[in-house]
Amino acid sequence: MTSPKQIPPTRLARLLDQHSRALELYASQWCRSPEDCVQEAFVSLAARVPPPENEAAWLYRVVRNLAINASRSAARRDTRERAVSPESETKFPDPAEAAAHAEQVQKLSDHLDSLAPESREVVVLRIWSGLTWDQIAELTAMSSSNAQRKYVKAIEQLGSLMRNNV
Amino acid sequence: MSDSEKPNEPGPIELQSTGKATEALLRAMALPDSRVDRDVLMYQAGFEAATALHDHASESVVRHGSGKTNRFWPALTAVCATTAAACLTMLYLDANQVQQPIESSSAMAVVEVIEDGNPEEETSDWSPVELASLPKSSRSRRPLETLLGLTQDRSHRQRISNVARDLRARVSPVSWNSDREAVGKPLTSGSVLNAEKLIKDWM
Repeated sequence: MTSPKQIPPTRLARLLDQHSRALELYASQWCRSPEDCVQEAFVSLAARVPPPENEAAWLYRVVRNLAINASRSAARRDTRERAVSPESETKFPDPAEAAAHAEQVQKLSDHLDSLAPESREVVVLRIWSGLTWDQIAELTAMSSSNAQRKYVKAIEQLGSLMRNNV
Repeated sequence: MSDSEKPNEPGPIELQSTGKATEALLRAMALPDSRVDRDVLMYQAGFEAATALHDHASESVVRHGSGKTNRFWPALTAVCATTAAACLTMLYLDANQVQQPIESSSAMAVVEVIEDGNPEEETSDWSPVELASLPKSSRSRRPLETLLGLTQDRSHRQRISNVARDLRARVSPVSWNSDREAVGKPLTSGSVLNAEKLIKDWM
């Protein structure tokens, strides 16, 4: 049951298939549960009347805001919990699937972690999101030329790092 | 934002050959699998879309109305308000209306005094009174059912009779004695007559 003014389910599914992995990688720069941000963004997109003109750019912007908000909430929660029990340890589940996933993410993030946060964001957006330079500039609140300069510098830095590792 | 720009086309600042190789390498890297549960997400998205659609429809109904029912009551309210305003205006105008035929300055009401007793005591302070100079409270007021048109209004003669009855104790024919003093005298006939003609006949 969707209105003509809402995004059709087939279009939503296609966007999910195309962008969910890149969106998770993008959100993982800020928060520890990027899949929650991605899910919330897609649900918001489905409920939006009328849908945005450029759904992909809208999704990246919403995921970015949600991830930043989630990271701030997590930081506040950690501070509060540390203040209550300073010696408590954070426990993570350790299934095999999570380990494999973490290894995959680690391999990629090893390269990206060496970059400055702004440069890393530009690289992720440029390589995996498929957004244009103007959209990236709008999303990161910097000029298009500045975003391109950061991208070129980050790619050169990554290239030298990968050559050294090999 | 230029929509014509393709996402993967190089910008004004181009990469060197090593940079292009690195870029290609990064593009070739497989992204980790998504941890989003696709079925749950699609179900939740459909639920939220239906809820948003319902809310949107409710808002539009509140904003634009829903057919006959929402037009009927405002129209009925407008008709009732107009009718009430018209009735109030009629009441206000009729309450302030002056009875012009009786208040004419050329006519003077003279009423025969029928009460028994000493005529001199009763008519000692009698004097002709112009109706227009009387307080409004002494004038006859039309009943509410007449103002609303529920009963037929009284005739002109009936109204004159009522006014004359109100003025019976105040108005009387006048005569002058030898000392030029005005003296009231009861009449023997007639209810509402011209004062000058009455005085001439009586003298």
